[in-house]
Amino acid sequence: MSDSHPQVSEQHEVTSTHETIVHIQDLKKAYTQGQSKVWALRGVDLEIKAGEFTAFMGPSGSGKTTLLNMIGALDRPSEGIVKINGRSLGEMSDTERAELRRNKVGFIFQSYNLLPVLTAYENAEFVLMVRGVPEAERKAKVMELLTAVGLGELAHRRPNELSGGQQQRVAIARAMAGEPALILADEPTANLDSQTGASLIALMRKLNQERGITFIFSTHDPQVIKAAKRVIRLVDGQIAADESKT
Amino acid sequence: MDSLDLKQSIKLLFKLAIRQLKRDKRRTLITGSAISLGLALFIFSDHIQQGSYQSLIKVGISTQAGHIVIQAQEHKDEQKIHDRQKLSKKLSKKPSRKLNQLDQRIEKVTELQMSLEQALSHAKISGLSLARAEIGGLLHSPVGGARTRLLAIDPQLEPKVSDWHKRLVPAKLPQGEKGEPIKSHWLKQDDDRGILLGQKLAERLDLTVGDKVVFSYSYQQENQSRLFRVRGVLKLSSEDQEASTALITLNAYNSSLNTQDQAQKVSIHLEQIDLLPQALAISHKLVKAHQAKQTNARLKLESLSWQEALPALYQFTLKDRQTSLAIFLIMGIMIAIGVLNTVAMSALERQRYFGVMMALGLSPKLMGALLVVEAFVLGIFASMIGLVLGILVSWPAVEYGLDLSEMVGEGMEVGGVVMETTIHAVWHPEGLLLFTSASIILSLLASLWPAWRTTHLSALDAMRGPDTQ
Repeated sequence: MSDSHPQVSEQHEVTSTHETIVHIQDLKKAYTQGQSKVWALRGVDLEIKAGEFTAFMGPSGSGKTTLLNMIGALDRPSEGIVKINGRSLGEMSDTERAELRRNKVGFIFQSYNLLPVLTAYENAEFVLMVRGVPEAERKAKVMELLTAVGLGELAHRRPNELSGGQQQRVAIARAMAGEPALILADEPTANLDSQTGASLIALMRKLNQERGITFIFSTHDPQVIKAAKRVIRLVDGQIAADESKT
Repeated sequence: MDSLDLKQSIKLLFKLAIRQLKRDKRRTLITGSAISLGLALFIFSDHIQQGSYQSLIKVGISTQAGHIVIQAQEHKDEQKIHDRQKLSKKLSKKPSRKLNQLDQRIEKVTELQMSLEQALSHAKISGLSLARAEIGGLLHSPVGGARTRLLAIDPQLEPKVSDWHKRLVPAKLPQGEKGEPIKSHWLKQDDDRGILLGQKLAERLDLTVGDKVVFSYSYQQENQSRLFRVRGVLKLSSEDQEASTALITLNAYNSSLNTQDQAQKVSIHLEQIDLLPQALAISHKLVKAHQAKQTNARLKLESLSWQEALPALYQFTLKDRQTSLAIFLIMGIMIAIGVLNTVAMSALERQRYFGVMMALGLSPKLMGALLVVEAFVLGIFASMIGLVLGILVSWPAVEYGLDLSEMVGEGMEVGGVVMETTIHAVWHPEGLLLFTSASIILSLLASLWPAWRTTHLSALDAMRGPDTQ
C-alpha cells in the first residue's frame, strides 16, 4: 500500500462558516522548574474561525505545543481564557474536559500514539466506541474513513505491522472518526519522509476542504507551512506574526 | 452527544483488558502462574488438612468417644489435663474427694443403651450405642511386668464402630522357640478371661497366643489381680499405644470388679453427624432419668458431644485451622503484593498509552476501571487454572492417601488420639469456594491502588510519561 495516493471519495468543497471556534485571550502558561518559573506562553490573543487550516510555527520552546495543548483541553492555563465554541475551558471539570475532547476535538500526534493492542480499524473505531455509537454505524464510518486515508485493506493490522506513514494515516482516521469540529495536529509529519509527509498534508487539506473540519498544526515542516492557509509565528511564548494566505 | 452506557463500558473495558493481557504474555504468564500455583497449593493443603482432621476425629470418635458420650463428670475434668505428668502432679498435691476412675461406673448400662436406641429410633435417628470401660494397672508375665491400660469393650458391637478387630496380627513365638507365628483371634462376647495385647506389650512380656498373664490393679483400696489368657496381638497406631494397651471384654471388666452390667462410658455413634444436636437433646433427657437409677449417689452423669468429650482434639483442630488460615492469608497477601507490583509496573509502563486514551476522551474513572478489569480477568483466568490444578494435585492424595510415616514416624498424638501415618485427603467444596473466591478478590484488591493512581493522572503528564510498550 502506497502512502502517496490516498483515495478521497467526496470531491466537493465545504465552505467555511466563519464562526469563531477558538477564542484565546491573554493566555499565559508557566511551568515550575525547581525554584524558578519558566513562561511557555506570555500573553497570547488569538481567534480561529471554523474551517481554517492553520499552522503554528516557531523554534523549539516557542510555545507551539503548549498552545495546542491548551486548545485541546489537555492542559490548564496559568492565566487567561481559552474558549472552544464559546465555552471557557477554565470553568470545566476534568470530566467535562474529557467530554469536550471526546466530542469536539481530534488529535494527531507526532509519534502517532496508536493504541498498540488494537488494530487499525479498532484504533479508528475507539473514539466512536467511547461515544457509545452503535456498531453498525461505527463500522460504516470507520471503513469509509480508512478507505479515505488509503488503508481500507490494512484495517485489521496492528500498529506494529504498519509503516510510520500508515500509522499516521490511522491516526488521522481516528481523529476524523468522531467528526470533531477541530483537529489538533502536533508536528504530524516530523517522523515521516518528505514524500509521505506531503501526501498526508494533501490528505488533511482535502478533508479540511471537503468536510469543513478546522485543522491546527504545530510544525517546523516547510511543506505544512506552505499548505497552511494561515501561519502564526510564535517566538518566546508570544505571537510574533500572523499571516493569512488567500 | 452520546456516551458509553454501562454495558458498552464493560464490553470495551473487557476487550481492552483481554487484548492487553494477551499482548503482554510474559507478565501475564508470570503473574498468572503465581496466582494459579498459589491457589493450587492452598487447595491441596486444605484437602490434606481436612483429611487429617477427619481422620483424627474419626479415630477419636471411634476408639475413645462417640458422637455423644455419657460418662461421669469427673472423667471430663481428667481429660482436660491431657498431660499425664500434670495430672499426676495435680492428683498427688490435692487428695481429691472426687471419684477415682474405677468408681466412675455407670450402672444398668444395657438398660441405658436400650432406652437410648429406642428414643433415637423414635426420633428417626440412626445410631448405635456402645459401652466401654478402662482399668489401669500392671500386667505380669514370667519375664516381667508392664504398666498397662486395659480397655474393656463389647466384642460384638465394637467392630461396628472401631477398627481394633482389623488390627489383629499373628503373634510371634516366645524367645527361643521356633515355628510359625500364631494366629490371633478376636474376643468372644462371653469371654471373661481373654485378653488382646498390643504388639510391643506382648514382645516386652514375651507372650504369645495362649499364654497366661496376670493383671494387678488397685480397687477399693486393695490390690487385686486377675488371670487372663492371651487371645491375640494387636498392631496399633503408635509404639506407645502398642506398649501399654490391652483389650478385654466388658464381661471380664465386670467380673474383675465383682459387678454386673456396668461400664465407664456409653457412647452413641450416629450415622448422620448433622443430627447430633437432636440426638444430644434426647441423650440429655435420658441421662437425667438414668441418674436416678444409680446407687452411687456421688456419681454425676453427663452427656457430652464429641467436641466436649475430646476437648483437646477439638481445640487442636480449631486452633490448627485458625493458624493455617492465618498462614494462608499471609501467603495470599504476599501473592497479592506480587500482583500489585505487576499491575503497578504495567500501569507505569503504559502511562503514555493511558494519556492517549484520556486525550481521546476516556474518563479517568474508566482508565482506573481498565486496570481493575485487567486484574479481574487475570484473577478469574488464573484462579480457574489454579482450581483445576489444585483438584488434579489433590486427587491422588484423596484416592491413594499421602504417606507421612517418614515425617511423623509412628504418628503424631493429639489429645490422646494417634494420627494415622497415611492421610487420605478429602474433598472440601467450601475450601475450594473460599480459596478460589479469595484468589479473585485479592487479585482485584491488588489492582485498586494502581487504578486509583491512574484516575489521578493528567492526560498530558501521562503522555509525557514512560511507555515501554
